[in-house]
Amino acid sequence: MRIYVKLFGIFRRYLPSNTEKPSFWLEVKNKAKIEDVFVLLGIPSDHPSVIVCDHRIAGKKDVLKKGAVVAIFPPVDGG
Amino acid sequence: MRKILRVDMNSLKCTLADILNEYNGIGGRGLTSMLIASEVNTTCHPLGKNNKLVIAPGTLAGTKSPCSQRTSVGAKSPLTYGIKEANSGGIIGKKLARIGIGAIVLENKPKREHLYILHVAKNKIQLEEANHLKGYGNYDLNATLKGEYGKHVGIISIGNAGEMLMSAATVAMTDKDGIPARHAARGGLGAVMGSKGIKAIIIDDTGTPKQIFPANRESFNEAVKGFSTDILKRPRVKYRLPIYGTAGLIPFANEVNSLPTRNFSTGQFEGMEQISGDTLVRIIDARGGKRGHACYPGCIIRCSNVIMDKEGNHLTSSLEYETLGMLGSNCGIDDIDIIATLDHFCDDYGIDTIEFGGAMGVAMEAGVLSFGDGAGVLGILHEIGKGSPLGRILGNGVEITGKVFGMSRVPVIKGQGLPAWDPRTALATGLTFITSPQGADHTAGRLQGVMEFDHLVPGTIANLSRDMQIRACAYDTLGLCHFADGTDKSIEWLSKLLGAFLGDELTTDAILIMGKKIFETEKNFNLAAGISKVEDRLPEFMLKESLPPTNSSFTVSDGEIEKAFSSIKGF
Repeated sequence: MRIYVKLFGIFRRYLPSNTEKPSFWLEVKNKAKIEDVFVLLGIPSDHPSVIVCDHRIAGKKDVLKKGAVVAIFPPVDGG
Repeated sequence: MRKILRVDMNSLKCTLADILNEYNGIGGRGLTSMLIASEVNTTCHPLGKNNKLVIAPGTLAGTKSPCSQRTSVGAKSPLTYGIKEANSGGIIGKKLARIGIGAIVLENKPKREHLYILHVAKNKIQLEEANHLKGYGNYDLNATLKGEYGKHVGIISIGNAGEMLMSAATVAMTDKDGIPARHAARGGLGAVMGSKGIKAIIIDDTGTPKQIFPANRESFNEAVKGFSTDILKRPRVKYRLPIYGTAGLIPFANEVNSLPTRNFSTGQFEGMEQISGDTLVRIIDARGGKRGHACYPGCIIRCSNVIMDKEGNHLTSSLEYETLGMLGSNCGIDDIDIIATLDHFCDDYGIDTIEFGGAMGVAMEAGVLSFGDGAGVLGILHEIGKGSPLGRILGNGVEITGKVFGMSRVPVIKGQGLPAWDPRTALATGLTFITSPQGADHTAGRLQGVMEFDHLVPGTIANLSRDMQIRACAYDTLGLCHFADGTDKSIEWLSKLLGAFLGDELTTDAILIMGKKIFETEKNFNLAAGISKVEDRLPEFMLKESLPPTNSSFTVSDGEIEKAFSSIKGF
C-alpha cells in the first residue's frame, strides 16, 4: 500500500535516491508500522525524532493505514 | 552585594544603594516583579509618574553558568494593565553584573518632554539631555552612541515606537555584534521607558572584573560542567537549535495544525515550506549569513541567526519562529525576504513582532490590506515609524486594532496578542496563555514536550501548564534561557548553581518554591489591579470556532484547571 512521507530538517538527508522533493509517496507492506518506514529509508532506529501521522503525534509501533501521511521531524520543544 | 540604581526623572537625581537582604539571590524577573509589586500602585496609569520601569540582570549573570546572561525588564504594562516582565538575551546582563548593578529603577517623569540618555559605568552614573536623538531608530541610535561611548558598550534603547509611547513598543538590547537585535518585546515596556524620557542607557563595563565569582567556586564549577554537559546532550540542542534555530519548529507546528494562519482562521499554511527552517538554512548558506549564532559570547546553544539580503548585506538578526508565524502565516505571507525585512524594521522602530503580526492579521481580515500583501504590511510598519494615525493604531497592538476596525475575531488574552501557537491544538501552551499573569505569552511557560498536542496523558494538561509557568519564573529570575531546560534534573542543576553561588545548600524544592512565590506575587498584583479570574479565558471566537482542517478545539476542562491551580494563591 502507499503512504505519503514528509521529511524535515536533518531527516532530509534520508530522501530516497529517486526522489527530489522532501515529500513523496512510499510503497510499504500492508499493516506496516512506522518503524518499518525508518528501516526502508535507512534512518537509524535510535535517531531522536518526533513523528506526526495524520496530524497526530505518533509512535514507531503504530500501524499504518493506506494513504496515511507520516511526517518525521527533528526533536521539537521550545521556541 | 549588588546595588540598586534609582533614577528619579523628576529631580534628575541618581542614587545607588545596596539591594535589600530580602532580595538575596533574587534577580531578573523575581526582582522586577517583587519591586513592582511592592513599590507601584496597582491602579496607577502605566504611562504616568507612579509607574516604574525596573531593569534587572538574572541572579547568575556574569558568572560561568551556561545560558545565564538574560536581562529582565518589568513594570505595569500599558498593554495588559497588569504586571509585566519581558526578558532579553544579548550582552547587557553580563555587563550590568560586572558593574555590580542588580537593578536600575526609572521613577517619576521628566518635567518637560525632554529625552535623556543614562550613562552607567564603574565609577560614573550620569543623566544627559539627548533631544538631538529624538526620532532615531534603534540601528542609527546604536551606531551614534557607539561612536561617542565606544564600540564595547552595551546599549538598552527604545526606537520610534517607544518614544511615541505605543503599547507594542519594545526595549531593545545589543547582541554580541553590537546590533539592537534582542528585545524585551512583549507588553509595551518600551512605552514605559519612553514615558520616563529615557531614550537609551549606556552600559559601560570598562575596568570591571571579567567574571563574577560564586561563594563556593569548586561546587559551582562542578555544577557548570554538569549542567553544560547535560544541555549539550539534549536532542533539540544536538539536532535542531544551532542548525535551524527556532524556525525549525514551523513545519511541526503546521503538521499538528497549530500554526496561526490568516488571523487564526486555520492551523495550517499552504506556504509553510517557504517560511520553514529548511528554507531559512538554504538562504542563510547561499548568501553568507550565519546560523549557530550566539546572542552573547560563550553561549553553548547558539540558536540565533543572521540573515543577509540578496546583495549580501546584513538584513536582520535573528529570524525566529514567532516572527515567521505571526508576520508570515498569520498574515498569509510566504516570502522569507519580506518577513526578514519586517523583522529588521520592527527591531529598528522597536515594535514587538508578535503583537504587530497579530494586529496585522486582524487588520487584514478587516479589509485594510489583503492577506499576503507583504509590501502593504511594510508600508504600515513605516507608518508606525512615522507615528501617523494608522501607524498609531497598529502600533498599539491587537486589541486596539480590533476595536478601531470593529472586529470580533480578535486574538488577545488580558489585552496581549496571542503568540504563534493556536490554543485549540497546543493545549498546555494555550492554558499558559489563559492563566498567566502576563497575558497571552509563550515565554511564560512553553517549554517541553509534544503531549499537549494530543493530550496523550489525560488529566495532565493543566498540571503541565502550571508547572511550566513556575519553572519559567525560576529560570527568568536566575537569568537563564529556557532552552537550557530539560528534564527534572535541570532543576537539580539550578539548585546546585544557585546554592554554590550564594554559599548555601539548596534543594530542588527551593528553586520551585522561589518560582511559585514570584508567580503568586504577579497574580496578586493583577487581582489588586482589577484583573480577575474572569480574564482567564480564551477569546470568544476560539471557543465558538473549531480549528480547521482537523476541527480541533480547546478541551481542557474547568474542573481540571481549577484542581491544578488551586495550590496557587491568587487563583
